[in-house]
Amino acid sequence: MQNYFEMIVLYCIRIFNGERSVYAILHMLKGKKSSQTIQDIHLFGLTNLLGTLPDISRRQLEITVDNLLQSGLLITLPQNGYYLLTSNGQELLQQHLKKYPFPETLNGFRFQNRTQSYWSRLSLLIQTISHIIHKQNRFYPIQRDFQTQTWVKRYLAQNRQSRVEIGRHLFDELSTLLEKRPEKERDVFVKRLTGIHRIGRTYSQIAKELHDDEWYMRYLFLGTIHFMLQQIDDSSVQYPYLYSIIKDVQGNSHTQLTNSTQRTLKYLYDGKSLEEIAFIRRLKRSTIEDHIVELAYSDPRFNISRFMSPKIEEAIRIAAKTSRTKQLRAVKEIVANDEISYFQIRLVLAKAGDDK
Amino acid sequence: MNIEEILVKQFGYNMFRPGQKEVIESLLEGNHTLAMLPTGSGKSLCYQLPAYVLNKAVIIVSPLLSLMQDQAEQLKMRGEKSVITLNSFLTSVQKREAIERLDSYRFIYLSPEMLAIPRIIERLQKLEIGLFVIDEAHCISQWGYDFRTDYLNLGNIRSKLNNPLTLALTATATKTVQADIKEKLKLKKPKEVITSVDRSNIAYIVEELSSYTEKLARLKELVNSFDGSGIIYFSSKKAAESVTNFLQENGVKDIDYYHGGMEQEQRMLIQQQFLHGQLRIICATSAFGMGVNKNNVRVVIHFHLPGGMEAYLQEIGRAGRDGKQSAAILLYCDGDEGLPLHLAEQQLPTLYQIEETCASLHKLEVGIWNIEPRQEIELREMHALTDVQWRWITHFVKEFEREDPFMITKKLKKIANERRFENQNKLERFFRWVSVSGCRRVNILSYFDVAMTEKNQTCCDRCKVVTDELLASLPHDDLIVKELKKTWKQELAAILIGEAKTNEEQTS
Repeated sequence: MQNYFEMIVLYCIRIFNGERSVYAILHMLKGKKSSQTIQDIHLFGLTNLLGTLPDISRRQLEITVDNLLQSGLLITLPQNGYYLLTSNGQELLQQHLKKYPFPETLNGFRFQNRTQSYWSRLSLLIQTISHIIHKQNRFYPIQRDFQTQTWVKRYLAQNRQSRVEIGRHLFDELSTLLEKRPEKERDVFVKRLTGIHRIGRTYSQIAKELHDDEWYMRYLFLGTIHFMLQQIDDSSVQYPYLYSIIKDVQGNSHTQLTNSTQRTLKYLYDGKSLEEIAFIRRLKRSTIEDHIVELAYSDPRFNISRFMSPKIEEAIRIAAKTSRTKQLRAVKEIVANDEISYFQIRLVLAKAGDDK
Repeated sequence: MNIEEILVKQFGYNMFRPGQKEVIESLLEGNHTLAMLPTGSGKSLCYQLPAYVLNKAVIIVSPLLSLMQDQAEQLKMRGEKSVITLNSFLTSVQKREAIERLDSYRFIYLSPEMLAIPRIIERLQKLEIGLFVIDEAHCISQWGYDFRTDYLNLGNIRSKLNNPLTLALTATATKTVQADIKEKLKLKKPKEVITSVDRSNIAYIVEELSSYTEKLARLKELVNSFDGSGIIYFSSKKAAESVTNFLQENGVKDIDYYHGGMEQEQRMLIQQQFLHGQLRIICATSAFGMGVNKNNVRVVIHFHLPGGMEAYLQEIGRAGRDGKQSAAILLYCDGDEGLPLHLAEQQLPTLYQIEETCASLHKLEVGIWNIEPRQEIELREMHALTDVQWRWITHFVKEFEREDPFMITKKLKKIANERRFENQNKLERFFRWVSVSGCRRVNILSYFDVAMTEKNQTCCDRCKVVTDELLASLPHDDLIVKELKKTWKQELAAILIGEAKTNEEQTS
């Protein structure tokens, strides 16, 4: 394998196990907000990787898959053109995962919406504070995005305490959090920062300095960012300064939903039935079903009992356990009951995902 | 305050550079002005200074988002707060807010596609416009080297805005292009300030090598023979990357690459590292440079041939902005001329693509003005059109929409043929310059129909300048070596707490 990205693709292909095309991988890594993608990541257990490579292109992925095929790590399934790993592929993946595991803190599903705003605000704020406390008020902002710049200006206008103090607090909070991370992650994070005396390093520069892979550097960095966001979420009192950077950016489960699903959810709250919602919204029944399945994945408290009896739910649950694949058809064949719909099976599988 | 005082007070300069004062005075006398000032001679001052005399809004149309942002940031660095850049990257809320408050800005930077939005034109019509600036005005001309279809409407927009006082700025325009700019912008008898395109402190060198390998080896020698900053231009992203790796592996330090395929944040880091002297050499595509305001670039090397003389002057113009001796070196190897020809070819649709696309567009029920994104994708895929080719075709179909379909296709094919011929012509003329036996400077000037005014001793390889002697004699710049602190924590403290504090912690 040439790089860490190839490993990620190999990993996803193994997880999808010939049941999804490579474009499902593309949507997943780019963090596409569709019901299908949300269902996939839960069904297959890929919540950590969702939206971790928003800039990846279709072409990049296709070239990579091609390389993997050429090196004999993949085979093509004759029936649908999807891919499976060869035993070579399996072995190589195993080795690489052992050497370069995903940071255990990685959680794209929970944090993809906030990752970019958190980092761009934090890095520009740090650059700004660093210059002000060194009595330099003019510098080229490292973040060009207008929104980020406006945010930092407003932040500093609203927080009137001394800049030295803000710097000290940011230092304390960041070092407390970084202390809890492995050596390499700390290094990568700090090298990326821009301050008074130097401009931050690019991923490829860091990779060269540490004799490591550029893609891997990205994931280590994301691991750090997600770890920080999770700590800030769980104990905002302990990290008031970092919390104030991200508190206005919504990250709860409901904003993870697609807009359309949010509207369906509102009608469900109003007590409307599936058919009524489809009629009101002039959408196909199957679309509303997708929304409901998405809701079942996103909210652990979502109650599916209004869509089936406890008896049916139990029958599906047992069938799902017996079946080894994640294919709905296999489950349906096992339950062997015409009255049970695919929709009901998908709902139960969505809930079962939580039991893992 | 007179303009000299403003120059000192607002901009911190003691003296105007050639051409600046003439342009500013012409504008303040109320003349529409066409100004050609060489790259790196402080063109933006020509509209920035008058803003403080006119005390009305200055609108600047600029072709490139990054250029616009760089110039806005530079103004802000000088303490100018009322600057806005309006472009398609703003969210709709931001756009609305900015448009509402448009009269509160002194400098309004706009991309040409923003001027196609009726709401923005309406708002601008209500504004008292002190000066309307078209930056990189050669983009309006089909005969210019960087033709942009969305620049063509600027003439109409000027009329809609009631013909405000206008400044057309360019660094590189032949007489034909200058005439075209005046015509397209509907500028009647503007005052013209044409300074020489020559940059006397840049020595021109062309070296011919016999193979690619030799070119690489020579490049390695060259970057090791001077200690200042340098830019190496390539015509492909891939080459920029692979040559960077080659040089790094061969022990060249403080070098990295920059191209349009990189993420915005990574690009910004590289550009800033270069400005701050953290990187000495950048291997780049032509995407790098516009708006990069670094004074002490000593050497610009071309590893591939540029698209023509205008492009070449733009790129080497990034050297020696501080006025000190600098060098432009072109490495040529037999067969190199194929690459720019191929690249220029790709910019234009083929005649077959024109015919087929025009036929599809004609069949389209919604009409040329209302094509949905989905239809655009379909059509582009069907006819294998790049983004540039697609915009090229749709622009001209819109332009000729009143005519019958047969005529439209015919006209488009004619224009494409002319463009193709012109591109080849430009390359051939440049290639002739590469192999010219006389003085290179005299030949550049004659390309732009300008006479030589002053001659530098250190002129060009044809005037007996020897590359290695030249490089050894270039002014030295101290690169600031930025060693990282020993641990991540000391480094973090150096950023957020300050040096004094860090030392204290180191000793404790």
